[in-house]
Amino acid sequence: MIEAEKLMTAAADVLRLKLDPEYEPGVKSHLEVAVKMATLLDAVELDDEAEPAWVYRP
Amino acid sequence: MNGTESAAEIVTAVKTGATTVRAVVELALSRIRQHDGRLGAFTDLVAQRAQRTADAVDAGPKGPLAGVPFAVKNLFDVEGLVTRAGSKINRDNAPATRDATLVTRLEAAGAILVGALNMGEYAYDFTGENAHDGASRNPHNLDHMSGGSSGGSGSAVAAGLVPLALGSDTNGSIRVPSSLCGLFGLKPTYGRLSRAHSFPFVASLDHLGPLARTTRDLALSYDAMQGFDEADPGLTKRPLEPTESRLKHPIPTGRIAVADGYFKGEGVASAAVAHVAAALGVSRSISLPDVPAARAAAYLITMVEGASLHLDRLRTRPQDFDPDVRDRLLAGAMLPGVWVQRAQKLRRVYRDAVVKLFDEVDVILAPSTPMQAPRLGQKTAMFNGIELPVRPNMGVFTQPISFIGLPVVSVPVWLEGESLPIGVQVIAAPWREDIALRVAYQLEEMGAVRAPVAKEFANG
Repeated sequence: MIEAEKLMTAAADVLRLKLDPEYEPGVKSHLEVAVKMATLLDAVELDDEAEPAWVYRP
Repeated sequence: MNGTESAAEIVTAVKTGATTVRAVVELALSRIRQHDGRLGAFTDLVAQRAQRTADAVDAGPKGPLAGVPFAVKNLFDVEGLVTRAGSKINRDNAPATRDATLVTRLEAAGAILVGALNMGEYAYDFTGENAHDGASRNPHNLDHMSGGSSGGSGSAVAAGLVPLALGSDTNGSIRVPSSLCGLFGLKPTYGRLSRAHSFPFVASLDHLGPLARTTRDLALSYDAMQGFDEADPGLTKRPLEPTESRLKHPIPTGRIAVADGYFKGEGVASAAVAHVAAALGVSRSISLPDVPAARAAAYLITMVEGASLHLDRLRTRPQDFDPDVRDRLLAGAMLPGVWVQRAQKLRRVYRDAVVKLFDEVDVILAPSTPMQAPRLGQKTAMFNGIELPVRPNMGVFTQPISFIGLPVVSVPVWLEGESLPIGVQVIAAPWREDIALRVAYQLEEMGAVRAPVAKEFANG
C-alpha cells in the first residue's frame, strides 16, 4: 500500500490546498481506493500505439 | 384525470379536448404541493412560468408533448433560478439568464416545466442523499434511498408528481435512481443530447437523459430533444433518428445476450436479469473484456476530472462541500496524471473490443444496480459477499457501460414477493437508442417490466 499520507501532504502543498486535519482520514481512504483502481488499470497491457479517447476535434 | 397519467395519455387528452393544458398543470402543481414535503424531490417550483406556458400551449398549436408537465435535476439551467447543482456553494451564483437547451426543446414540443429537482451534490453520488437539501426519498418506501445522483428525478416520477423528468448520468446517475425507484430511464449515446447550459461534472463522461414510467414517454421526450447544438462541443452532427414511431418493431431473440462474468451479480440483481432474459426467451450469454479495468478507469477519470472542475472551490470553500464529496474530490486532485492518460487509452481499446461484440448481438442485458434501494443513511452493504461503502459502489454495473458511452434503457423489474423494484440495463451499440427502446417496449407490452406510481401516491 502507498504511503497515502505522504502523497496527500506533498500534493496538497503543490496544489495550494489547505487540508483541515478533519478531512485527512477521508482523503487518505479515497487515495487508497484510487491506488487499488490504478492497479486494476495497470494490469491491462496497452500497445504503445494506443490512442487516448479524447473528445477534442480540431 | 387524477394527475398520475403518462405523458402520452396527457397528450391524447389535450389533443382530443378532454382537458386543457392549464388544468393538467394546476393538477401537477397541486400534487407537488400536497406530497413533496414527504418526498423531498423538488427544490424549486416555477408555478407562474408553468401557468403562462400552459396558457400559451392551450392557445396555440399542439406539439408532440402538448401539456406534459416535467421537471429537471437542478443542474439544468432554468432562467431565473440559481443552478445549484445540489451544492451550497453554487447558491451564491447569479440566477441563470437562459434555459438549458433540453428544457427549451421540450417546451418547444409543448411540454411544461414545473420545477427543479433535488440531486446529490455536484452529481458525485449514487444515494439521493443531499447534505444541504435533505434526501430525496423513494416513493415505494420512504425510509429507503431514491438513488443518485438524479434522486429527485426518480422520486418525482415514481410518486406520479410528473410523468417525465430529466437527469444526468456520468457513471450511472440516471440508471441507478431508475432502478431504485422502479422507472424506465434512458441514458443515450455519449454525444447524442445537448448538455449545453447544464452544470457539468466530468465532461468526458457526462450524459443527459429522461426518466419516465413508460417506454413510450421516454421515446417521445428523447425524440423531442435530439438535434445538433453548437453550444455543446461534444455533440454529434448525426441527423434526427426518431424512435417513437418504431417502438413496435421487435428485436430477434437470437440477437440478445446476457452479460456474464463481472456482470453476473447475485441475489435480486441476478434474478432480475434472469427474469428479463426469460421473458425475451434469451439463453445466450456474452463476455465483455477487461471490465474491472474499465470500471477502474472510469473511476479514476471521474476523480481527476471532477477535482479539476472544483479545484478553486476546494481551495477557497472546502468547508461548504458535503464532506463525502469534498474528500473524494480532494483525493482526485492528488492523483498522478499518467493514470488518467492510461485510463483514456484503455477507454478507446475497451470501446473497440465491446463494439465488436455488437457484430454478434444487438442487445446486451446486465443488472442496473447490485441491489434494491438501501435504507436512507445506510453507509455500507454486502457486494458479492464483501462489505463495501454504498455511495461509490451502487454504480458497479453502470460505470463500465457509460465509460464508453453506449446507449442504455434501464427497465424496472418487480420480482415476485419483493416490495421494492430493481432495474435491468438494456444495452445497445452506439447510436442505437432505437434498439434499446424497442426491447424495453417489448418487455413492457408483455408485462415483464412495469413502472406503477407508488401506491401511497397513486390516488390523487
